Amino acid sequence: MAKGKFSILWVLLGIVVVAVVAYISIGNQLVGMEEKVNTAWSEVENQFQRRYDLIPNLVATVKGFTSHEQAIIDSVTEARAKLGGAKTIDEKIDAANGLEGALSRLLVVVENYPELKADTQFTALMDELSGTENRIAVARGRYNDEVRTFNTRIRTFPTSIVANMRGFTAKKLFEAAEGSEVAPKVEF
Amino acid sequence: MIRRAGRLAGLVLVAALLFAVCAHAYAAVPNPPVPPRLFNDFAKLLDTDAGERIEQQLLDIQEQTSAQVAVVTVPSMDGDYIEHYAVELFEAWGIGRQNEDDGVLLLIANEERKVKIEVGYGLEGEINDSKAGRILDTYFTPSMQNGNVEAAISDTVRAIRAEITGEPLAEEEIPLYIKIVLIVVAAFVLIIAIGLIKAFSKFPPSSGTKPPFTGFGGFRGFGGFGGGGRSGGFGGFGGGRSGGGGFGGFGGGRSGGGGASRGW
Repeated sequence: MAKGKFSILWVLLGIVVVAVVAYISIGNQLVGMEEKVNTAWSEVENQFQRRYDLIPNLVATVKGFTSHEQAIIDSVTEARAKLGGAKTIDEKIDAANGLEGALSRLLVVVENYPELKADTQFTALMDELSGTENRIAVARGRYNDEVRTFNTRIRTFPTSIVANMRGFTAKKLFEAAEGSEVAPKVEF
Repeated sequence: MIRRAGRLAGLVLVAALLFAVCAHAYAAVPNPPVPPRLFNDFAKLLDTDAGERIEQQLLDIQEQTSAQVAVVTVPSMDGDYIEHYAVELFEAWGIGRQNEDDGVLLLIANEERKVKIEVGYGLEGEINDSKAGRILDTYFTPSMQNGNVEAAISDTVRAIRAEITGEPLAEEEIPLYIKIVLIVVAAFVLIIAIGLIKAFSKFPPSSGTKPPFTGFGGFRGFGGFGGGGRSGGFGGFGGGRSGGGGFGGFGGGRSGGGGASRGW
């Protein structure tokens, strides 16, 4: 009888040890994965910043050639300001999508100004801008990949238990704005 | 039991379908060539001689700067955009050294008449997007419109080369500490070998059936080292150099969509 009690104690102790080890190692894995998501996001923000910095030059160049497009230029400037003021990831995604829309409208208008399109400074700016849009698309794809891996992981048993206890929640995907899967392009 | 088997079969079918869909989504990018080459003319735009001239040009760049400039022509991108296709191909092949990310891809899509210079992370400072665009405007598009494909590629590659300020490929790639370890190991082997020879000469095998000791086979040299000891990652072949002067393989470099594209 005493012997039986003893072995049950050992079994319980074993279970506790296994549970604690699993809790710690799964928790650490999740921390690592969350860090990957954060790294991927910071690359997205790098590229947002790059686009943010390019816009004043672009607006100045476009203004020099166009006279009737003040409304569109204003909408780009406003969207840029909104991105500058965005704090949370959700706000930043929304603002970035808004800016992308305003930029594509500007690029459509630009088509009507052949002498602007032929300007070398404008060409260089457009290369920088479409390169940046393209980098955003790549960074967005890589961020979403990391988020999908993370979200799947924290909802899969038994990791889900640890994720709940440690307070890991699903990350938001960066959904692209309608029709912005491809960088706005200007044909030369 | 039968029902369970049916369900299992269903699952397998779904998995197979999913796999097929995934495989299709990435089927567009060609596999890296075996043996590895820097100039890959899948669209067959140049004859063999011209292709070898371009390959030599690209090999020289790697020799002088350590950077890997790869030129790839494809007949068609199957509806993909060149910006996306270039990143996929760059990542699948791993152009440039790992961690250095000093690779450049000049991708030419023949059917779509599109060209893209895709710049690895490590060279974005040296070849920024507007520079890449200007290189294409100056050297690629005009020659291509005149039908001179070799000049278009060769001049563009030369212009890319002019922007890269890399160090020459190091001749001595074995770090000092490894050399010391090798010397110590060699010394040990020598001591043991001498000990063995002495032991054999003192106590010859009594049965006499063992063949006499005829000496060691000689030192055959080491198999070569991967580029700086890096393992190359996915899609890379270690970035090692095969002593013969040919291209040793891509090193696992990455890009993030930098560069510029044009139509012609």
